[in-house]
Amino acid sequence: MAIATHGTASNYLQRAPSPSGLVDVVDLILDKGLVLDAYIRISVIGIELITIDARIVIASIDTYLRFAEAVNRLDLTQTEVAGLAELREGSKGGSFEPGGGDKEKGMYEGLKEKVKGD
Amino acid sequence: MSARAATATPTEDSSTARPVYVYGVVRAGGLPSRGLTGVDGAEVGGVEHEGIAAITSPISVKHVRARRRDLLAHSEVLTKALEHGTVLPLQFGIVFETEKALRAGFLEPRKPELEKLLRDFDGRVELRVTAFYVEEAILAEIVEQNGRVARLRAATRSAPGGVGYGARLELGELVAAELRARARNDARALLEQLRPLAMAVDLDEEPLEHQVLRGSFLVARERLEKFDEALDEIAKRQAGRMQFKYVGPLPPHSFVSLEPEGRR
Repeated sequence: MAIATHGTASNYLQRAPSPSGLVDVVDLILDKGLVLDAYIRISVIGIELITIDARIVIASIDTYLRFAEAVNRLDLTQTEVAGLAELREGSKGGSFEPGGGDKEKGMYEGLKEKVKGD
Repeated sequence: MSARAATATPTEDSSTARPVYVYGVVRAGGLPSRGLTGVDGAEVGGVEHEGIAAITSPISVKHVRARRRDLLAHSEVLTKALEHGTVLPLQFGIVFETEKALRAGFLEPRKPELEKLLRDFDGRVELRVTAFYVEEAILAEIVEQNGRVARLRAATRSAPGGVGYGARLELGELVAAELRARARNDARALLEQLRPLAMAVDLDEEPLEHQVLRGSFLVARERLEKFDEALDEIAKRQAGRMQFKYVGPLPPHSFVSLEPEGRR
């Protein structure tokens, strides 16, 4: 997401040198990497909950209703007219302001908060 | 960096009898510089064994519950070690009772396998890519391109609260199906462009909401720039519609594995 100010390419996306968020780290180090059989394992109480929480189930009535609500909340002046009148030819998308519904980020922040309490 | 290793003789003194937390395996001489803080706030060192070395730090057995900073420390130590050469990362949370147990139970019996892995992963790094839809943008696109969604939206929007439950459910289901289909197509398109630049791809299962792609690419260091450019180009094309997170170079977490114990 960060816009770089150097380099020759357009630099829409800059590579981060290391994972910044806990969710990213958890993805990488909890069930990946070399695993050994004979060792004492640090207990990771709480962490498994995070990974499960992060893997949201898509197919549920709650999700459907939330999507319906999200679609209804959209403010799409252009598409609205087209949708209602079913005159989809010539309608212009993209008149909305993206980024407002930063659900994903919100989720990550929420997860981070959860673990802060150790 | 070998000060700790030098004290580690088969006869255990007070320092070698302590439990050690293990981060990963490198070639001897490839340990991260001193002064790095690891899991449990301990200073990171290493245990060398005939040309290979484990990145370690002392840990108190009484205090082995993982905390947020421990998870981050594990990852950071490995990322730092990668600056000095090839690193084989271990999963989080592996502790040996003593340095001696680490040598006898891991470094020594697994030496040939570890050496081979170190050779295999020379000059190869893991790049982590996640792509998510920007919710408002993708929903607007669906409303615009699916007439039934647009009609149901219009109908349920004008309905007073509580009314039109069935219609709202249908709307939501349609939207969910559209999201799945779009994510599938978009992921395929992204992979078509990125896969040729990678030596291996490891996609995470269990998608998160609005996820298009979440996975790791094993890339030769000399292709790193090409990969950057390809992904940047994709991000530019998808600006406003998708959000990306791009992390690396990382040690090859998603690509290393050892033979199961019984099968060697």
